[in-house]
Amino acid sequence: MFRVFVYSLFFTFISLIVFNQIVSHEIKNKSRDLNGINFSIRSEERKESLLKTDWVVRTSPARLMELAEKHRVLLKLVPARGEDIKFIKLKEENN
Amino acid sequence: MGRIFKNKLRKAKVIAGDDLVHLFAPEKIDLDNDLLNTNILQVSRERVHLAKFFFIFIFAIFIIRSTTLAIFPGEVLSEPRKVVSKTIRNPLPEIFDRNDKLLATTVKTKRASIRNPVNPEETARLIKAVLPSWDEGRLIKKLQKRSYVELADNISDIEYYDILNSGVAEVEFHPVWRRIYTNQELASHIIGYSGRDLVGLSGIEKTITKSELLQEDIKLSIDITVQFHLESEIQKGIELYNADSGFGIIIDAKSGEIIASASLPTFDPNRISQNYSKDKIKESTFNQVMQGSYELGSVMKIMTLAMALEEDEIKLDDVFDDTVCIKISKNRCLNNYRNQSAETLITPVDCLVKSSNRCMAQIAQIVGRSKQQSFLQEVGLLDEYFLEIHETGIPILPKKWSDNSMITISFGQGLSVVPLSFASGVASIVNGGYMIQPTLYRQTKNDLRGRSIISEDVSEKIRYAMRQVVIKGSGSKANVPGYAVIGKTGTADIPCNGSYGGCGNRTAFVGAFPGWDPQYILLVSFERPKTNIKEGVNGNSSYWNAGPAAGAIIKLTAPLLSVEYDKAREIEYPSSTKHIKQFSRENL
Repeated sequence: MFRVFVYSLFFTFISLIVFNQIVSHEIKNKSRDLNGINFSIRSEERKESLLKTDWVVRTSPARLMELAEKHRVLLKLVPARGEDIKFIKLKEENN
Repeated sequence: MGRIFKNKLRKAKVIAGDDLVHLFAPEKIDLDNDLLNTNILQVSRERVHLAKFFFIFIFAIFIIRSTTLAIFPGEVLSEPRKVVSKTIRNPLPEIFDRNDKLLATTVKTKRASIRNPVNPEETARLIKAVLPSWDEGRLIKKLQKRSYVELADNISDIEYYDILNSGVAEVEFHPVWRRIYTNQELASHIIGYSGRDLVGLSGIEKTITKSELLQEDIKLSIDITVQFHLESEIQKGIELYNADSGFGIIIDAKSGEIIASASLPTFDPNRISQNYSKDKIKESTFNQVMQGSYELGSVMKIMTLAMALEEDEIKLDDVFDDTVCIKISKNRCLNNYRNQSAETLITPVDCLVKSSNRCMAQIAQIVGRSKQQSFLQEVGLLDEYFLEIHETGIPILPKKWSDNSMITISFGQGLSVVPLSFASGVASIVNGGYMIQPTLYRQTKNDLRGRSIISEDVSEKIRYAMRQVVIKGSGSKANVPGYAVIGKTGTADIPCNGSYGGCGNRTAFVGAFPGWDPQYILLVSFERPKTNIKEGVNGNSSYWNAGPAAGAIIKLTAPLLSVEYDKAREIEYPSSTKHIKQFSRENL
């Protein structure tokens, strides 16, 4: 009876060890995936901040002015006038 | 099968110590010895059992504990690590303008360096191929001299892969933060700049470092588009009038927010710590608007007139004698600016329109010097002022506030004021007479007017007088139809070697728009402008330079600031009492 008990304990322990190994392996895999995802998030955020900065540099007043000067004739651009603002305001009031 | 298994099991059923039985127990049973032998066997068997149980017990503890940990990891691991938010967080906050446009940000880049190259010549050749800005000879020398050489800061991803593929084994990469100022020179005096280690060295950047405002993003009151127009117009003015330098400022007349502030020459904060010489840094980082202190000339007459009207010493219908001799030394009378022809009788409004020094001196004499001093104190021209950046200047007062300095200060000489505090002082006078506090941070309220300095009536009268200056006086080139621009020009000789004259002049224009309810104050000034007859600039007084520059700025920026436009509206003559006093030689 005692021996049966010892053997059953032994088998339980072995199976538990196997179970632990499987679980820890799974955890390792998942954490590696998570690290990878975190890393890609970080690199995407870095890229995003760079793109944002790039966009701001590209839409800076000095550059826009340069572009406006370049295409002034073609696009019939004129500086904003006070009259224009008034016109828009009146339109808003009517709505 | 069962039998075999049983036999095997039986065979396997060898208990530790069984083989010893044959050794220690011969077939003949010796009673004495047998007792001893069985005892030894018994004891050893029990010991083995004990050891077995002990090991099983320890093993069980390990197994059970590790199983529970595998199933319920939350018991011991308190929180999973948050990697993302910690490392992505910028070391310095981002700076935005009033319309949430990015002004300064931090990006992560890489720094490439070489440690202990085996073959410096070969390494230099390979590096030269991917980083063409390096001089090969210089790089070889550096590599031979030192064991650690920095190749490039802030390399791009393409350069990074190029260097990796170049075949240099000793190259190292380190992540570095880089501060980027997206608008280069624009508003650089306000934003400031920081060194390579991200420590702010001037402007808001210095404030961030000193007061450790590292958590929240900063919203400035600056409007970057208005700032661009202000800077570009002043730059144009400096080129057109061949001036030494120039500055300009636009502040909100009711909240005190600084919408734009330009001080030229300026600098590029992205490059200043690397490419600029020491002298150039010193010259270009000086913020004339906030650090400087200048005699602005006739624009001070606004203060004199406001003070006299507020003290109720004069009225708008009073008449002054412009030909009277006001002695400033034993045998010298006060001249009007550039000895302009004087008319006999003029009203205070005409005094401002004609910018008569004699008339202002008379008004100052009527009010008295103690009142003058306390009024200027109240407006904030005589004190240090508070601003969110560390670069602030102090006004330069006369050593002794004598009668002579009272007279000269009344028309703007002998007292150097900080342009920013002067602009905010003018704002306090024309906005209805309420004190404002200039600020660089965006305010949530539109109206932040503080205590009253002068009454609203007086403010209205000053606005009328300043409007007349723009309609028919020296500020006529600043007039922009639809905004009823009010303003005053000023031209002051720059003192040198202890006297005035011969050292060029400083011209200024202070204005406000729209005239009926001023929202924005504009101050423009040039140092030592010259005539430029080719371009139609026939003089070097403020009529020819500061006035037109201010007009151009108002024309460009007023629509951007959505200022009310009304072509038909004009400022009425404020009603006044009918008792007309005549101040002449006898009264004084």
